[in-house]
Amino acid sequence: MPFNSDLVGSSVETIVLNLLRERAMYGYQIIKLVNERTDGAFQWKEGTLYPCLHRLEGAGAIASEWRDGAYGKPRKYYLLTRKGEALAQEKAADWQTFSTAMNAALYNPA
Amino acid sequence: MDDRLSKLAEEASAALRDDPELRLEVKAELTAHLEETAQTFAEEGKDETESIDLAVKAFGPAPEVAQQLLAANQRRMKLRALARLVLRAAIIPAAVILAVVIGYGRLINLGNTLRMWSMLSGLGSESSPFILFNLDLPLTLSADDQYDRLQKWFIFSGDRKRESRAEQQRAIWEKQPENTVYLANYVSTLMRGYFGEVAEQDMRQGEKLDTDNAIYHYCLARSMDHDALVIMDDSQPRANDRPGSERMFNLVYSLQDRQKLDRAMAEVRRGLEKPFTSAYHRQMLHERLAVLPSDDCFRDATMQLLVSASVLLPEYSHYRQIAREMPYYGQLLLAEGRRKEAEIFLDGWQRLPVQILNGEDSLIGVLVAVSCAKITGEGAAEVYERFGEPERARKIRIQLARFLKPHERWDRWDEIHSKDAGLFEVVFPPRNKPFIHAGELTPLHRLEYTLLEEAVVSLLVVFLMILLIAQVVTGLSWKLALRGEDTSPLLLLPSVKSSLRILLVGFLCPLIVYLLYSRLPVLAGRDQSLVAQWPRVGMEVLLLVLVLFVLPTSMLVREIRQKCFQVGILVPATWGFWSARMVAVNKWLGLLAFFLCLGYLLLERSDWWNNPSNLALYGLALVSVLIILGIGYVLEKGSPKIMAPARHCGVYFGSVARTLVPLYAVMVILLSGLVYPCLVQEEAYWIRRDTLVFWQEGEGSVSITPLEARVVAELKRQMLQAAE
Repeated sequence: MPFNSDLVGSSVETIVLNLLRERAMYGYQIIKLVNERTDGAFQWKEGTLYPCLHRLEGAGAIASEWRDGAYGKPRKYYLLTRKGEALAQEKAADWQTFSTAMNAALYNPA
Repeated sequence: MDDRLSKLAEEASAALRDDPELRLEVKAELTAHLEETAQTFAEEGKDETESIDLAVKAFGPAPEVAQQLLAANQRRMKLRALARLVLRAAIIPAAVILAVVIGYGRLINLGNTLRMWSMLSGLGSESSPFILFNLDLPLTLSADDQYDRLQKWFIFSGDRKRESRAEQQRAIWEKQPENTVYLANYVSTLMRGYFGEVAEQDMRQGEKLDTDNAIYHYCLARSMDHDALVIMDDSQPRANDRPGSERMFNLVYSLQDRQKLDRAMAEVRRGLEKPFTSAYHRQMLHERLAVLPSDDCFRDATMQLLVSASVLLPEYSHYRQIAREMPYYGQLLLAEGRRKEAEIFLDGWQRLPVQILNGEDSLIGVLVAVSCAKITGEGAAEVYERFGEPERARKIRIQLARFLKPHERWDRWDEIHSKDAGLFEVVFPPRNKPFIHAGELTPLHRLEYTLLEEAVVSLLVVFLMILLIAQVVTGLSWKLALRGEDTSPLLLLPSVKSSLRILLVGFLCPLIVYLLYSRLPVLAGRDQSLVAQWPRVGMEVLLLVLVLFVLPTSMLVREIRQKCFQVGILVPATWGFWSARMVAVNKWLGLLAFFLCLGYLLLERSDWWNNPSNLALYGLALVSVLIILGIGYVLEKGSPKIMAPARHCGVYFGSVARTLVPLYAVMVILLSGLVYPCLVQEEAYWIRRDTLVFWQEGEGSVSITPLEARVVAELKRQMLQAAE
């Protein structure tokens, strides 16, 4: 189901950072995992993910390293830095507060 | 890989072209992504074309992705561009220039040290007394201007505008006419054979100024007698003797001018009344050494040693000449019935050697005193025997034997073995063993190793400098060769972590291991001389050099290779890489050897060519170099199998060359800025600890070396005691 691009754009960084808290991953892996976990609700494209990864790398929140992936081809893995770890927690907490407030606003009639 | 996927990745990364390294990296990342997407579709049962179509569709419009990637990387690209600019325009060129300057400096320094060694080794040669005049003195000067140089070296060379050396040295005395040391120095130069220039007035002035010194009388005597009495070796056939010549004391005497001889011997007689004869070499030496740099380094210490040798090994033949004349003249006087006068020259046989002992401080001075005593004593005894006075002759011989006994005893003593003495044996006096105490050789042995290591570090720095220049040229030539292509060679600097790992593991660790190993006497045995240990030390040093060069280079090349592989730069197979490298190295070394040979050919002195063996060896070397270059050329042109990888992997080779430049620059700077200064400190430490060869500050040099001073002091003490 395609979402509003503003809504998707604001959530990509939060999702990427929190996925990388689990383990180091490469781009394709992240897209695949997001698709699986959202049951296809988030259909991320390369144009969504890679600019986000590069932006986060430029900001020092994540780092990258080349490792041998499947089929012997090198893959660029992304890892969370200490700065990224703090940012991931902050963004998750923000999202929690936002979603609670959103739910309260939408589903708790006075 | 399908072309469409590659093209798509190319298009998506095209906006990053201002940062070629980033573009290649993003392209490789997107390509891998697209390939995996297509692979997933294929695993779901789609055929290859459909899988690729679906992967391309899933990717979305490439120009849009390109713009998004550009926006995401803009800040990073700006920072990277700035860093690259600083690296390319300032840091790397500065490091390269610094490395080349340092390398050149090390080369000059190494040349000077080797020159010092060669001059030190030449101390035993006949020309040693004249080393002082052959020294290229500005070698030790720094930034002094021409005027200061002339002023500074005046105490050595005097006024170089004057024609004869004696006149040049006279200029020093002229500046201070009351200075007896300067006057005696001038007189000493006159006695080296420039009798024609003797100014009697100067000698008379010396007599007045320096009343106890006999040297002025002896100098005058030599100026008068050199064509009055001809003395020759008696080994020639008697038929060749001049008319009127006389054979005695194993010599042939031929009187030419009796009047002149009388005048000369009158001067000798006056000289014999003085307590000593001296040219004040030691005092002059102190003044001259004060001008020289006095850092605790081998070069300066050796320069002082060489100057000491030049000053303290003067020409003493005039004393021997006077000693030969004394018994002859005594005999002449006895024959004429002038016994009282004759006794001055015959009974006074011991006066001249004692005067020399009183006035001289070098071993050569002592040996000349011994030689003079043998001539005058034996001669006087022979004369008395001729005139029927055997008892008087016997007494003289007993006295002579007593006087010579310390020298004879010394002459039977042992010398330290060459292997134990080491490289400094050239400056050890003979019969030295009893004068060297246990452990005294250790500082000299350690100094030998330090000097060797300094030379090796200098050579390594020069080698790295040459490699660095070769890499700069290689990088540029690949850049030119790939002009117009999509990608040119990159400067693929490793991350800070990798750089530190390369420097630590590849460079500092081997150095630290070597230092720990070599500085522990139990392991490396460096308390023994280098001469005794050279095969082992040679291997150790060679291994260190190889490790210091090969390890960091291979570590960095591996990093670059990996990086190139990751970002999709074509990397040659290992075999192809090394064969191409070997051909390139062969070419560079061959060219270097060729130009060195050519340079040597052009700069070498012409007399060198007169030796046919030199010419043959040189020709052989030149032909060998040409053969090696020829083999390289044939391999390069004739074997596409070997050189194919090189032609297809130009970006890789260019990138390797470009990236090795900063590594070699850092290594040169570290070796010269960290390792070499430590070795120089160590060198100074061992020079300060030495008690045999180098004079320490405040000691004031008496003989050429402290060891010689010990020998001389002991011999003088015993001989003067015997003479009393």
